[in-house]
Amino acid sequence: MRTTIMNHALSATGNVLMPVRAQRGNIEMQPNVSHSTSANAKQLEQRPSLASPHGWYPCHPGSLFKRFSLVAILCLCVLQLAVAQDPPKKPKTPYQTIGTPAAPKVPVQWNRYHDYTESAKLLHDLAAAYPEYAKLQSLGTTYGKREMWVLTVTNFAKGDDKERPAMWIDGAIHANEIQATEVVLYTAWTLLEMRGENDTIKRLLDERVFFLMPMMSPDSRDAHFYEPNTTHSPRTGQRPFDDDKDGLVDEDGPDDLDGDGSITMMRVRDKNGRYKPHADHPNLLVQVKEGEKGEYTILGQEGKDNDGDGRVNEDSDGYYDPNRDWGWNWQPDYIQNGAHRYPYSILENRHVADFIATRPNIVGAQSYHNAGGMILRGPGAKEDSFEGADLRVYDVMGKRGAEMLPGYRYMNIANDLYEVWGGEVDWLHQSRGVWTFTNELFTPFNYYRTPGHEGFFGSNEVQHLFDKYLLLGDGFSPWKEIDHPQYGKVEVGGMRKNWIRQPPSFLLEEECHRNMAFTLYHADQLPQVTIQAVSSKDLGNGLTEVTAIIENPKLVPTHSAADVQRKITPPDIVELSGKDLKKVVLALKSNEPFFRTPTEQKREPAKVKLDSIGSYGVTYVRWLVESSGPLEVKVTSVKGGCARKVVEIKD
Amino acid sequence: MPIRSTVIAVWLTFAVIAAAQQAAPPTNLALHGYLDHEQFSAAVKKVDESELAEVTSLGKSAGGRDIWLITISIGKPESKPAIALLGNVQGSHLAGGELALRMAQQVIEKGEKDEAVKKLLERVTLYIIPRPDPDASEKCFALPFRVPVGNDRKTDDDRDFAFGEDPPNDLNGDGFITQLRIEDPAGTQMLHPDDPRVLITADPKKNERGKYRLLSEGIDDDGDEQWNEDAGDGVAFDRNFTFGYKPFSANTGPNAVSEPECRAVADFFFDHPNIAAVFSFSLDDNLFHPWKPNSQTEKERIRKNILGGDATAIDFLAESYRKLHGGSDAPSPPDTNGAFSRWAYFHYGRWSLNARGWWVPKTEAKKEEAKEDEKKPDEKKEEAKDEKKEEKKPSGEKRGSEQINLLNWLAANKIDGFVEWKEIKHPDFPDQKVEVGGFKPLVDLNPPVAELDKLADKHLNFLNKLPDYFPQPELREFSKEELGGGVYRVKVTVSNIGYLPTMPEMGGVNGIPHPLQIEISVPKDTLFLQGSARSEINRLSGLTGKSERTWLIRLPGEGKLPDGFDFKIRVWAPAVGEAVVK
Repeated sequence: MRTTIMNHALSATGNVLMPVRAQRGNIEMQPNVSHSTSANAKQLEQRPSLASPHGWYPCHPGSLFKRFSLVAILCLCVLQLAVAQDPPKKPKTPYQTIGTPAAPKVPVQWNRYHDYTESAKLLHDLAAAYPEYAKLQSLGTTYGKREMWVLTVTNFAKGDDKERPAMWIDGAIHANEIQATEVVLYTAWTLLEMRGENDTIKRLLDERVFFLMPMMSPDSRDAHFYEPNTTHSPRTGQRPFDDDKDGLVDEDGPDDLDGDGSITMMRVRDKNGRYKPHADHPNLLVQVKEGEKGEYTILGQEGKDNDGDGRVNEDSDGYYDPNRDWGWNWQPDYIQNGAHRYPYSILENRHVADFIATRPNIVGAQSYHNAGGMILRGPGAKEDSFEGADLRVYDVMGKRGAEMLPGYRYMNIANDLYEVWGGEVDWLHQSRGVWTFTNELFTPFNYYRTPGHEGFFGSNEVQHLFDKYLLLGDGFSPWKEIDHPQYGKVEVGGMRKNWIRQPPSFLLEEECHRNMAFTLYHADQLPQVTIQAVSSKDLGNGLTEVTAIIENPKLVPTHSAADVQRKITPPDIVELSGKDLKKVVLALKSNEPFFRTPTEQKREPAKVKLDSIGSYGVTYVRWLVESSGPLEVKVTSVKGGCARKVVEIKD
Repeated sequence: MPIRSTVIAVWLTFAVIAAAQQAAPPTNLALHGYLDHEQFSAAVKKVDESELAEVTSLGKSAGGRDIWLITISIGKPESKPAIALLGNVQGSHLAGGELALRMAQQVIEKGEKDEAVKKLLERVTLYIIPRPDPDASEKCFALPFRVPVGNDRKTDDDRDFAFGEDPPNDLNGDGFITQLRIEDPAGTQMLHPDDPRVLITADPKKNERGKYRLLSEGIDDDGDEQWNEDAGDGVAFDRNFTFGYKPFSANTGPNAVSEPECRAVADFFFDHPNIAAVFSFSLDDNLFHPWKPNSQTEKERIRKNILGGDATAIDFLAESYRKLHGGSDAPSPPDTNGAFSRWAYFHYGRWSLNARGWWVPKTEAKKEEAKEDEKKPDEKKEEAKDEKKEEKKPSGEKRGSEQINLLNWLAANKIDGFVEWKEIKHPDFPDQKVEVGGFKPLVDLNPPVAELDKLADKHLNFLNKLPDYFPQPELREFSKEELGGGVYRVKVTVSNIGYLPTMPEMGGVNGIPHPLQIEISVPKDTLFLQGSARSEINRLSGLTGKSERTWLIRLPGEGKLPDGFDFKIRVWAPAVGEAVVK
């Protein structure tokens, strides 16, 4: 149940606007008053508030909140009497818009895009507003001297960022895929701003750690925003790169000839041309039929021959592909277009990989790209493979995701999309044992909510239709004549850089929310070791039998098959200890309660090692010990957290 | 395991002290005269005194040692095609680094006075990286002596989440990690019929029974019933490159090119497109064991075999190397996953020539049977004695022939390279007879230092010859024809008169070497009717390779060539050189 009161007390003398909220966190702590809060809203409103002008937030003893709570309790107790006499007035509770925080401390508009500076500021503001739940750090500086910001979100009171199962979420390694950043920012914002209002989020922050990296290629994000580009560029980073190996670097990129900020197309009137305007969408050029005369010839992308080699736009920014740079199954450029020199020869990725290597508790990951509406899993290359047991887990999550994200399909990269060598998603699964999805954000399904769309971006006709009726023509930069140094008078025009791959304002927030919901679902499936029960039995001769039932009640096992096979992370350890523990005679493990075919662990029997605790898995561990006092069983899993339980031993 | 560890530790301490009391502090005589990092660095820096040479550091190894680069050139180094020469890409193969250093020393010493060297330096720049893996090289000099593997990164070689927890141990205190042979009815090893110092694998098909178990010298430090399975040996330079990289294997690193040494070398190579050929001292000897092409797989997306045309060219170069070097029995290359040699060809797209440089020559047993006989009874087991007291003829046994040859060579050269088997008490095998013995590490990989100068000579001779085969662009049949009204047709044929193509076929496939650029200078504001001021020529094969170019241009204004103006055509690529015609 959610009960939120939001009152704006504005006195006649023009006092500060004071939002006052009583909410779930509050109710939990004061069950005696929980049901009367909304009824007493009116009265509460008239009380002086101790809350800060930003609105209070529930967190720690000794905070403002505590003092406020005391006042509130007093007030409510007194006022309850009064209510009994007066018929309740219509509450002035503002209508709770479900899905969004009622009074965020960091207000953000989620129907627009944020450049590098704005995004960085948002992260700083969140970290400042929620110091107990968010920490901001830079993993390093980029080629263009920007920071690689990572926001760690968790309830730090429950442990540091290495102790509990963690979820890595990143976006926009291909910087032109800009909404990927917004989805990650939205996720960070929602986790923090909704924590006090939503049980699920509160629990997730207690149980999980979220590492959020909204901008994997910050240099190119600004390049996309502030330099002429298409919706497809820049996919690369901003290091100079001699694509055509002529000893000159980035010497002939496209040029914004009409100064509209977008790189569009060039056409020239030509009565023998092979193109003519589309009958219904005059901005769109279509090929003429055999034997038919056209009106235009298409000259390609907007630009000129900058270096006098007779070719137009043959060496632009890059090209290297930051998502072909990762340490698993890397292949050079002739096999995998865009691969740079060797894995992590792109510094930004090295920062990320180095960080992830120091956080083996990262067990789930989500990487956001665009476009085409896909929930992708590895492997990227056909000669590579995932184990069947791992695929079953991916399938459960992927299929759930496809339901949560209408217009998205759950797919394998190598077999259903195209082959990718050296992709981040493969490195995470194959080298780090991390359950990873890549979502290709935005789907042409969203144009008219019709299934069976064409390609990643929808057909030209649908785009032009959508532009005309939904974008009111803002999506297209009209054809205009310019003087071209090589071609003479030509016309320049085409779709602007800020849509086709990116949703327009009114679809952006939905995209953010649905994708976030999928990653929160994913995060909730991550392993969580628990000890269901520990029992002891006196066997006589001073010998006691101790049996522990270890459970992972989650979908995702503590180790993927890939992890177990390659020994990526250490096994889970079930440790028996106690100050009166004299001797561990033997240790057995079994996957059924009767220990019919147990496995003995001879070395270090007090520390039983489990390769993995499976999907919804239960494992039984039994010790024969000599002990005169209580014993503690502790299970520690690098990717599954830890749990402990004490068992009494009858002396 | 605390009790057990203590017992072992105490025992080991006594064992080592006891052994140490018997002998002087050990030195690895096999490496006598080889330079450790400090000495080697000093020798490299000395090279810097030459006008022709410049010594720089490419960066630091994992252990903080400099990775030296010696650049030798006449004129600006980048202005000429270059040969990159790498010393020992395997740390254990110290001879390679010594040879590379000696070659550098010889080049600067001979300098421009020497005709061959002068010709070499007029044609090419030399980039010499004598010890690309300084950490592993330095481990050759560390006690106890053993075959080093990788750099100073702490590794978990057996992937059990403990790092370097069970290295070999010098049980007899002689300073060398050799071997243990343990009498064991379940063992797979038996004595060589001709020489009981050598063990061979028993063949059940011949009704042979093993009597020994063979382990490297050491104890089971961590009590897991595996011996010396994790020395924390670091990441090997020659296992960390991208071609055929094997993840999650011992000493290969967390990913390809993860190590600072490999990054430094790879980045230097990518930053120097003028490198035309790479010569490395490596056990992946493709001059004596040329890589084999495979026409079946040649068109597959991922090339795994040398391409046919390149194989022919390398075989041709290898032939001249073999003649200069002599010998024909070079050992076969070991496993080459992630090797530098393969990277240089498959992923860097250059001619990759790799030589072991030296190996243990075939040596017949000396006829001093007497001497050997004296030794044998001491060494041999009781039962062996009975079998072998008789007059011995060589058994013709093929197994173990390399070791027999090595023993012969050591004896012939009076090198103390074998530790005679000697019984010790071993805590892990209290009830079994355990002996320590075997070859001293590195004796088979590195020649006595006295041989190095001569070897360096041979290799420098090959290096001097190599540029003769390099591609050489030439511009022929240059013509300019005035067609009227200021319109000209300019034609030229670009030929490659060198033996080698302008880049290997593999370079054409992987797109890493820079293609030839052809550029025509024309008066300002000239209009190109056909062709452009600058274009590229992808690849010209050797000797017969040519490409014709025709430009149609219209001069501005009155269509007259300015006074004294000549069309100039220039063709060049950093790794090929240039040609100009007017």
